[in-house]
Amino acid sequence: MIPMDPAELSGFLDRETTQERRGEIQQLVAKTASLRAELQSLASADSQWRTAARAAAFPVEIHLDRERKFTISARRAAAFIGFCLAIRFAPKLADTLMLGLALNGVALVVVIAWVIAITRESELRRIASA
Amino acid sequence: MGVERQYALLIEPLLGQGAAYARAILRDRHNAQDAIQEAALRGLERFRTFDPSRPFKGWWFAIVRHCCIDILRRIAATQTEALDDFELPQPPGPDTADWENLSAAVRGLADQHREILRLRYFADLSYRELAEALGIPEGTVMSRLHLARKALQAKMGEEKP
Repeated sequence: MIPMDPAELSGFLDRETTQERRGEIQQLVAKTASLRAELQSLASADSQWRTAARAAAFPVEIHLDRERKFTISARRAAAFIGFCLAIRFAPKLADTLMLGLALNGVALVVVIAWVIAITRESELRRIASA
Repeated sequence: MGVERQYALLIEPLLGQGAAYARAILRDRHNAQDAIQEAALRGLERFRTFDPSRPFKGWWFAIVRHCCIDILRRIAATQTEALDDFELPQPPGPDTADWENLSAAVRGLADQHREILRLRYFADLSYRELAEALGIPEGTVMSRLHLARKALQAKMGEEKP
């Protein structure tokens, strides 16, 4: 009789034993009814678990971009600089010119922020889909 | 190849199993999604210190596990939900009675038994990866898993009318 640790039955079921040991356990299981019954019972629970695992899986989309905060702060910094420049030069400019400049400044800030966001996003998407 | 890209390539095939594992712990799809997202980011932050001679899957699932525990703690802080109340996701199919029996038996298991079974089946970890994820010697994995299975069998026997 080949001595066998009961835990090896789990190793056998999970294919985590060496090929040689697997053969020995297989022989032992073929000879011993109680071992056969135990293996069958373990295999049945194993199959139920695998069904549960399959049922639980779902597709996940992840974003590797914790630095998103940086993008937001860049936008804020750009807005703040734009605002300071407007305050600094406002008294020296005619109203109409000032309005035009302000609108252009805002547009520029938005475009810069948008370009930063798009660049980062496409880079992350490229990494994730690689 | 950049570190981010290398990391993304490694975790991409693990996301489905990660989701299943997190869902088994958290019993909620949205929380599971949050846990995986957080684990992906934490893993990336720690990836530079990862030792390539160790199994990556086990390493990453240890992070997923910790993220799930953090979420459970957050939930516990806001609700009075029992943390060890475990529910298996209901599979499609007619074996509802068997299913409820298994689910009830799992609830009665000790934490370490439940944990090793979840990692084995939901995360599909090998024995080497289980050792890495649980921080136990590889030799202990087989016996702990077997004890968990036997305990589950015994519980299932109790649950059967």
